[in-house]
Amino acid sequence: MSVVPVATAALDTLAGGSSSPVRAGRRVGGQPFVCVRGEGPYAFDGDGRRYVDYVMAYGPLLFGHTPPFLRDLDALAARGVVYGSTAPDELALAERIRAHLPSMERLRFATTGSEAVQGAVRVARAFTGCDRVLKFAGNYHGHFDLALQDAGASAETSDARRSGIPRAVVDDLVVARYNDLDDIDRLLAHCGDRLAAILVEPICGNMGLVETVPGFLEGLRERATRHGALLIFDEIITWLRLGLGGAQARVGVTPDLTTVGKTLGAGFPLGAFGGRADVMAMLAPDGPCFTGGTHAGMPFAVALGLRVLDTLEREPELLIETERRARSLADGIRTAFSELKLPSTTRCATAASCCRPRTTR
Amino acid sequence: MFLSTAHGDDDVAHTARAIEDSLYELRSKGTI
Repeated sequence: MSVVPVATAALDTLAGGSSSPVRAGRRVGGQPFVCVRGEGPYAFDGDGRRYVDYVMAYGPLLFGHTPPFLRDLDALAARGVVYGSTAPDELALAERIRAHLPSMERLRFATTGSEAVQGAVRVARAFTGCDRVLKFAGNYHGHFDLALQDAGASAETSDARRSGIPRAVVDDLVVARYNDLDDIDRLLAHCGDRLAAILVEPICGNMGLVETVPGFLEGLRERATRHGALLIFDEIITWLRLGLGGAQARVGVTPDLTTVGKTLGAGFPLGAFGGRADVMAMLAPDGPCFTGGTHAGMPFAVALGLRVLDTLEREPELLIETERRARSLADGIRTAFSELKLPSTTRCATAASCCRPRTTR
Repeated sequence: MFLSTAHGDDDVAHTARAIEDSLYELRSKGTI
């Protein structure tokens, strides 16, 4: 990592040296990496050094920093970037998303993934009349209050009691062990009749990369139904990286609500949540549950979302090739550790590859 | 780690080699 003078300046002007704590570099013993330019799979620092970038802005850059369709940006900007009204592209993108994720019978755009999950949780509470949400330790769902409890590596704080998250919010949360249906049953025995939602990432990427064991998501589906709660799949990372049908198509489990984001906007902020029509009917103006936002469904980002889907529909081999390369990288890392007889775990799931080595002397 | 469709075979191979080199260097220094 390059530390150029601007990094030092950042420490003086930006709180913690960055606009998002995970970028500060402290968890790997460094300072903020200052990127001056991105191109394809590469990031460049102020000294002109080129890095193979595996951060990819923490997920959204499925096509790298400079996909060909970014050449359309000037033409898109010439139409204006935000209208404060519904736009034809917004309707087109909603229909295209629904075609790939039929469980999203109705959907609403948000500005970010965090807002999408926040909206999904709120409408689940409105629909069920219950407040309590069950989530899983290590699952990351954004930076709003409820989502941050036990949210994995990038969300850890030095003192959770002084994190600014109200005690009442935490009291409405039940945190279970991922991949452990027995733990869920134990928790549901105490709160199952007051549960609004079970919120889960179909693949977890914030405590290393952890895939679900067979039967886990099916077990969540059954338990949510049995307890009158809604099952929310947070597919903000998995949708598109696992294919156009997302994790739900791969595992054959239908959630009541789904959240998407990250790759959808190709680097521009764009999220969406949606699901059963009867649940989404709770949203204002049809119902009493308000979600919205000045930039929700921003035409500029929505237009890029259409180009993202155009690309993946036209060139399905792109994801297949990326998955092959991800597995190749994971194999290479695994081999490097094993040659030195270093204990390590390297997992790979489609286009998201994650290494979590453990080394001891 | 996230890959993109822009990452090529050369990028991946270079990264694996760099990790291997780093591990050997750390081993030679007694760090691991």
